[in-house]
Amino acid sequence: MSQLYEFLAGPCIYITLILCFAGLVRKTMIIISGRRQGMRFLLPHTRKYVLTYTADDETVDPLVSSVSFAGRDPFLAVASIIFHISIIAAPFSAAAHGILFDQAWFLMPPRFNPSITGMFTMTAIVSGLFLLLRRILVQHVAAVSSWKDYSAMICVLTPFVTGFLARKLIGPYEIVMLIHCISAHVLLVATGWTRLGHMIFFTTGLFITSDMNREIPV
Amino acid sequence: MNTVDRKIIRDMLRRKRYMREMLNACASCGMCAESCFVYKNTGDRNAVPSYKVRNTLGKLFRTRGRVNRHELEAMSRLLWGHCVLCRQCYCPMGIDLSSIMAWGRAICRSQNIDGGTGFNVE
Repeated sequence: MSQLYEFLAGPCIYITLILCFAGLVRKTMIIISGRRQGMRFLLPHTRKYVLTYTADDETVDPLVSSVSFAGRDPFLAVASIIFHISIIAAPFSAAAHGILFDQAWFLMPPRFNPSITGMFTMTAIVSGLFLLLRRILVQHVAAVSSWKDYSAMICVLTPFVTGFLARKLIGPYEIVMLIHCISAHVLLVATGWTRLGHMIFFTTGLFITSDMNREIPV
Repeated sequence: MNTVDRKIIRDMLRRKRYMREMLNACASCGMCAESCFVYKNTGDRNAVPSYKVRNTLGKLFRTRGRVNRHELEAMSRLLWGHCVLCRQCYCPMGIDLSSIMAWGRAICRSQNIDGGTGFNVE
């Protein structure tokens, strides 16, 4: 078991990072290639349209308007922002991860008080559970959720729950750490190849739109 | 005509390959539902914008255009029956939902399916 742990906490990261970056590069290339397919890059505040009717056809014209980043549910927006900040900040602030960085690349990231890492971990778990419960209980969210959405959420939460358990020495430590490492690798690879990539690409959609006037008959 | 020309569908999907990545960015948060007046007035889950795009163009991408006429007709009921392309759908990820719906309509029209509007291409 310790050999498997050594592999997961060491050389496996190179395989995982290569797979993750390959997926991210692929997504980026496809999005950039969209420029040849009628996609336009716009500033977010210009992304609003109105249907106009002519004698021959309907077309869609840009209409300058504002898009609120908070959307129509500010509470959900805040919970979502806290969740996403926490899942990125927690692993980078963990002292144990810093030691692994140092051992592998002689690169010691800034040290944080363990209580800060604990706070990020707890907010990631609590806000993640809130989003998971919302997915289960809110009718219109449950209606559009598939097994992929639930497994994505479990995939994201597992490294944080197991990291918390390992930190507090709850449960069989070796098994908890193995699950922690495996789930973290799965999460990184999945970020490159699945809808979890929205963690990286969530801003992209705000800047692109389709050139509907030329390309799409509505 | 009871068949579909899958080559045309595949070509049209290839022309908008980036839309697949836009669809992949959907986190199924359901926030688009609140911005759709069709959903707000009917409460019908078929009218939730993310449900509509996933089960129309999303399905076409997933199946690589391998759909039959019956499935395309079912899609057309979502594309025309539950959406008026008012462009009011809001997505926190910035997914251009109505352009995806519009391209779904274009694909249906290429197969002479128009959701009952009578605006066939031919």
